[in-house]
Amino acid sequence: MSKIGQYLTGLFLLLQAGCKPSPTPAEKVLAIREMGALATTEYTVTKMVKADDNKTWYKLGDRKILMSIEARIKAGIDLTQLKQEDISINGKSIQLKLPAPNIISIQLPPDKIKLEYQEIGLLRMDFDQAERMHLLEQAEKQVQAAIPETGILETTRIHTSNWIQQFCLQLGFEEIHIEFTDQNPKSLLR
Amino acid sequence: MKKLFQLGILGLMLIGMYWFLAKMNWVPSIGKLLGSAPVLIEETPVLVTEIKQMAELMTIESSDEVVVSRIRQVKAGSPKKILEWISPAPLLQSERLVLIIKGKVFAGTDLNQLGSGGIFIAGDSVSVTIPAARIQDIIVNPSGTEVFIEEGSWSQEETNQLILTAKEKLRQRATEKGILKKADEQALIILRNFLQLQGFKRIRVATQTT
Repeated sequence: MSKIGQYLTGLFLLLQAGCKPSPTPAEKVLAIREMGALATTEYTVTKMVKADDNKTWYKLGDRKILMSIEARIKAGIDLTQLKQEDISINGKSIQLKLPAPNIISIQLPPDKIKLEYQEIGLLRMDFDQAERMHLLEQAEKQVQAAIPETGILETTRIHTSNWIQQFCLQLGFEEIHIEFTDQNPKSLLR
Repeated sequence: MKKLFQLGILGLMLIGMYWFLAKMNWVPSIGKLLGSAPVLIEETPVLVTEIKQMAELMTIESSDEVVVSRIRQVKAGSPKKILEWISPAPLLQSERLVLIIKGKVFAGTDLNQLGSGGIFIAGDSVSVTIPAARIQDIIVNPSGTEVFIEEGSWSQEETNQLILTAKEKLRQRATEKGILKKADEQALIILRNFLQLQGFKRIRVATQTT
């Protein structure tokens, strides 16, 4: 009996040693990049993240999750793309051909991610953080795909024109014509 | 004996046939049959709640990676706590959540603060004083977040708090790398070029000193 006790103690000690905290991975700076984007528009959008884990035949019981997220999308123009031939000046009149508006950044603020509802069957496990993160990653991709439908690039054209016009007036120009180089939006996102 | 041999041959033939059909993707493979299906989210609409007009000159983007962790005591009533009662040796009574987060820090100048008082023009000379650069955005998204260690059950709020800690860490590291000074320098270059394109010959662009 005492031998069994010794074996059990040994086994527990082994298990505990196996559970010792592993060292955390090292951190590193990846890159610092210079840019020149003039962000003129920010859209705030919301979305519901709905998932149902019922596609595996041998898993019994329901496992549903409903989360809400918010995303902030910034758009503007890349001022570094502006060249000499894009600007023509005639006295107090200026004509500018601005680069096409682009999406500069998309962010999902962590404090706006909320678990709205969760239903877990008796025989199922909770959604862990890794799984939730995977679902949120899918939601992020869906937001990115839905950007053209929000009309943000069209709004950015108007906002950018407004600001450049105001700036040119401050610089002393009286007649300002603004157009954009092309209508094909290109993403600045990296 | 002969019948057993025939059955064996038949079994092998059936296995071979299944292997061939699975290889041709005509029937699901064993791995697919036993593996769990990925959980996919449904397509839901995106609702625009706010549209903001701004004029932010974003001049520096710093990409970084940080590790954040949180340790807490095991909650009462959890399986680990129950296991401790029957264990002859003391068990580790803490749970950890470790996240590896890739984020981006954007710094630049808020040009909306550039009032008419900051611009002076005399002929082909111009003087512009712009506000000092500041950190505009710290972007941490789920696509850049990896759950490295997750012990126990962590709520969404607890994870969100940890991600906010990561954002603060990203801000600190970017500031230590002199991101604001670099952003100021880049803003001056961008504006000088822009004014040069507008036909000004003598240009003075400076950052506002507080």
